[in-house]
Amino acid sequence: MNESQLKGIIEKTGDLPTLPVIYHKVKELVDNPQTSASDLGRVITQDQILTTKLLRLVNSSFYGFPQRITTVNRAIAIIGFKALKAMVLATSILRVFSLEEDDGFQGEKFWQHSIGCAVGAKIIGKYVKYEEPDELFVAGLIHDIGKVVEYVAFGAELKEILKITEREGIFIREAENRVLGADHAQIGSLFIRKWKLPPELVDPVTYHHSPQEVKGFPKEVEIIHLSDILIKALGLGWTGDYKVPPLDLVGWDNLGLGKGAIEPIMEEMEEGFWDGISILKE
Amino acid sequence: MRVSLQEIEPGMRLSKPVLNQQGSLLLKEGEMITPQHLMLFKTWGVGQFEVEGEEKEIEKEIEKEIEKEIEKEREDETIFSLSGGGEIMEEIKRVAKKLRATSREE
Repeated sequence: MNESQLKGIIEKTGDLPTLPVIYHKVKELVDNPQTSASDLGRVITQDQILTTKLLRLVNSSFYGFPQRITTVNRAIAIIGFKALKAMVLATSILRVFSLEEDDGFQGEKFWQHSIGCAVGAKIIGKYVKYEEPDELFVAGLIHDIGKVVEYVAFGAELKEILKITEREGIFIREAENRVLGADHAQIGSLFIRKWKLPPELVDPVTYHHSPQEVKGFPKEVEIIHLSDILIKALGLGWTGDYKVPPLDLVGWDNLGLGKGAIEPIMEEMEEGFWDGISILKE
Repeated sequence: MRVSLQEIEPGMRLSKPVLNQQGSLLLKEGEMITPQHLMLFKTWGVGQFEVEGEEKEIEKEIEKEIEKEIEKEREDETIFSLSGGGEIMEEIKRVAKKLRATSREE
């Protein structure tokens, strides 16, 4: 990508929406050690959509409580502050970028893929004993955000990209490079910098197709790389690609998972996929 | 609720009368739609109808259709990239195939 193309992309993404106030409020509260569950509860209950999604989440199979949780404060106490922050971020992103079906770009199924990748990342995180599985969820949800930027800011180019991908049977990122001079990983990475997310969330966006290049957070990148491949292999959601990309074996070895882990992970992913969708739907 | 010529189906009941473009009555309110009526509407070029029932039922049907579509797409074999991944990719392929087959049976 040359400098003027890069500039063009940054200029265009300047008009794209930013994260809603409620996310910043929740983040500020969670980052403050003095905050109590009821402080957070007051903020969450002001937002009907968030309240619904939080209660759906805590009553889902992800937590598996025998009795129904009906109050926001109890829900927050159960899932914890960090998971709450992740959920608010996930909900905010889905709300800011609710996508329509449009000539080849399957907006709803695009988010299904992202949710599937998010659920998978969290499951893989559990298998590799990752400390913050909810961060992985968010990383999975946003890993393809560059395609959303293309949809919003480069509509005509994206149509061309999707046509080329289908016609030539290549990966969408190859078509993106040809038409835009950059792929969705680079574009997404440029774009989310202005959200000021931690680098462990930005690295998977930047390197999920090139895990061998990451310097900062290789584990997070490799988990998203694997989850992306697994959800594509399961045929859930839509990405614009017609093929499942190859697995980076160096990264796989670094995760320390045995071959035998693939089957239970994929089984949990398939089940979790539908739960994830029903929790996050409007 | 309002439906288009593409959506109206035999068995639906009219909640408002159907008029042709000249304003003459084609079918009374309360009538049950038959396949013959559909031909009639096509001939007269009527495009919109008010039928009994809530919007929600249609939404449910659309949801069902979408689910069916997802199932159908998943039946198509996913194309795996030919290079890279070795035996781990083979395992991913095997499990994916198995899980897709079971979700089809359900």
